[in-house]
Amino acid sequence: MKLFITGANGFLGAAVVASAIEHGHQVVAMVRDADKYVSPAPKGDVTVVQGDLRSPAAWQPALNGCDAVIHLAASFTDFYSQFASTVQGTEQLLAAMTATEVNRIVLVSTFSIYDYRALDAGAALDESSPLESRPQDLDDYTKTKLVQEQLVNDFAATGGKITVVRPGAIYGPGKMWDAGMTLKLTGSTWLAIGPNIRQKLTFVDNCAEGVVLAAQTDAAIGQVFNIVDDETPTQRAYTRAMKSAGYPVPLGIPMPFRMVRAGASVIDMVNRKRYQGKAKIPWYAVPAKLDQRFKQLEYPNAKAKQLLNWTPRFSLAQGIAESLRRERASAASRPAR
Amino acid sequence: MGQRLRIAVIGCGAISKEHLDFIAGTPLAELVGVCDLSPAAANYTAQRYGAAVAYTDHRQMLAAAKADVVHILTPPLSHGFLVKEALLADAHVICEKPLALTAATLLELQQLAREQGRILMETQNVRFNDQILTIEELIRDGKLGDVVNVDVSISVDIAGGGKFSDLNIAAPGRDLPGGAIHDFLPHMSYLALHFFGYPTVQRSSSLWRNISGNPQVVYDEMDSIVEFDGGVTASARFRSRVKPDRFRVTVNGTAGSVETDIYQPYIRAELRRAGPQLSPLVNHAANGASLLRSSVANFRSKVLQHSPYHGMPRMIEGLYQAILDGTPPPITAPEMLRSALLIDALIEGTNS
Repeated sequence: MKLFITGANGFLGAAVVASAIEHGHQVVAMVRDADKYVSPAPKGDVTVVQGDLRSPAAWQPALNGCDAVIHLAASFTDFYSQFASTVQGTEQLLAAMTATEVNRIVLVSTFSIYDYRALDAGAALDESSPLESRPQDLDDYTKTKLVQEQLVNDFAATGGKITVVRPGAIYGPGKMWDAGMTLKLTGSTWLAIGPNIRQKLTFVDNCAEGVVLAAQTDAAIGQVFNIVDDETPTQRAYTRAMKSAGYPVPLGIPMPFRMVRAGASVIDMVNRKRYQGKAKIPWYAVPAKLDQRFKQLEYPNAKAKQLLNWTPRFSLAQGIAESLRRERASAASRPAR
Repeated sequence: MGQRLRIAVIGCGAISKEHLDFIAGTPLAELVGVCDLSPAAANYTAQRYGAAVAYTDHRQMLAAAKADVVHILTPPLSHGFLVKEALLADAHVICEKPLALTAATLLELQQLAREQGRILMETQNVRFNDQILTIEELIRDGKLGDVVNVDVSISVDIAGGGKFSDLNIAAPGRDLPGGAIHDFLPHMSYLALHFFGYPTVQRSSSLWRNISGNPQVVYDEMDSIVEFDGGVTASARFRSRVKPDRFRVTVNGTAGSVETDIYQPYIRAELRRAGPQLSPLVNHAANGASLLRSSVANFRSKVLQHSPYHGMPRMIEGLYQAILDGTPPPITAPEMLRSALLIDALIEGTNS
């Protein structure tokens, strides 16, 4: 297949490009800065297109003749910038797909849009779980991704062939702690909220392969897939695994989730009663945002395994070891200062 | 409840939040329509703020919504035709700055507004911020003596990333006479004039530069000096490379001076608070205490989202009240024209 991949310089996007090449596809990689091509796949194997989804003139011609789009591009700034790039960018992408008669799209969405408050502790969160119905309490990323999924669903209603992939917390080289598990106090001391809570982790290469399989599998059309690895370690187990692989692990001060959640509930009540909910509170003091990250849940991945024939290639230990190997290789290849 | 004005909004980008937060909450208004070229933006905004209808065609909205007031919140190049069409649809118009790119264009639109018997007002929201109101009070109370000089200095990193310097999009400053700085010029202009009572420009000189080399911003640094009627002067400066961001306003008078920052509000006033010997000491103590109070107030403002746009609701409320009462708007046509003429002068004085 010839795949048009947006956000191809992103953490997941770069891995998706590599996986697509490995699966024998042709790739048109759309990036914001062509000089900063980062995918492990050789640049010569892909067609790199620079542009912004909001300005289709630069990239729409490259969409001609593609069989499918894998849409990963997203931004993490203020609400209106995210709305412009994530939502209006997707609007432009879908319009360009219609104009070039490309009607297959895999949207990479997020676990953030599930309604965690509607799930009981210990419940299984799968593709049939309800989506967030009160996004006003959540961050701008969740709000814009919800609108973006709606746009893609609307595209399906007009004959588009869509697949939505919702990855869990993606880890990999250079992003071992970004899965929202901790709160950095200083460089070497972190607050470990909910050390016994299961993390919905997926190693970046595992996740990327899931995305590519979704694009090449006919049975995926019209489906949603959660991508989470087989092992969903507690934060404590994850830290232990990193330590035994040789990663320097900062001092984590354990904070029981229930305690943090109770404190956040008090702050939330004061905010609503005293300030009509207008006070801007950091995520670790907002109950809905804490639930998104730390509610104790199960994360079945059976649907992706059955319909996509996806198997996480890297176990947790292998994913951590591979991350460390790549980080070291990348540090060694950097010129000495 | 008294009469409610029917409000329509064109443009659902970032600035629309500052307008719509007020519109959705005031008993003076009823939001009858929002419009954006992006259906997703129009629909989201309509849902978020409870607008009766979401439109993607402004002409359709102007014909159907029968608005009393239209807010035009689109990029500057579209203001001219949108203002004209809204006025011809018999609506009062409030338009984001810069309402027009030249004083001549503004004059034409003001003429049309007069013919239509409608108010046309540019958003000059900073005039209604707490600190500016405090400075007005100091002037009114005679604490500064006669104002002889105003300095407005803005530093925002327009060249270091974001919409102004993005090479992949149609950057908003690209086609404006003052480049990306043009987005800030109206604030600088009306504040330079405001404390003098909007005098006319006698002469001006400006140095405009592009230090970053980024073509999207056109200019990223500006230094201007202006002389008005009566020999009073103002300076306006814009820097892209000075960190952190600031928006400093200094008003110098024959009896004292006062300085504030719109982004990180504080008031530092050098006044005749005691005799000539004691005044410097008392000023130091008073300003030290004032800065300490500001640090607490600014933290509270940050948490409660009392942003640099807090003058906006006051300004819009003033407009709505003026329309309902048949009184002059909070920003008058001559004030807007003087501000546009000063912008012309700053741009014409380019590198002279």
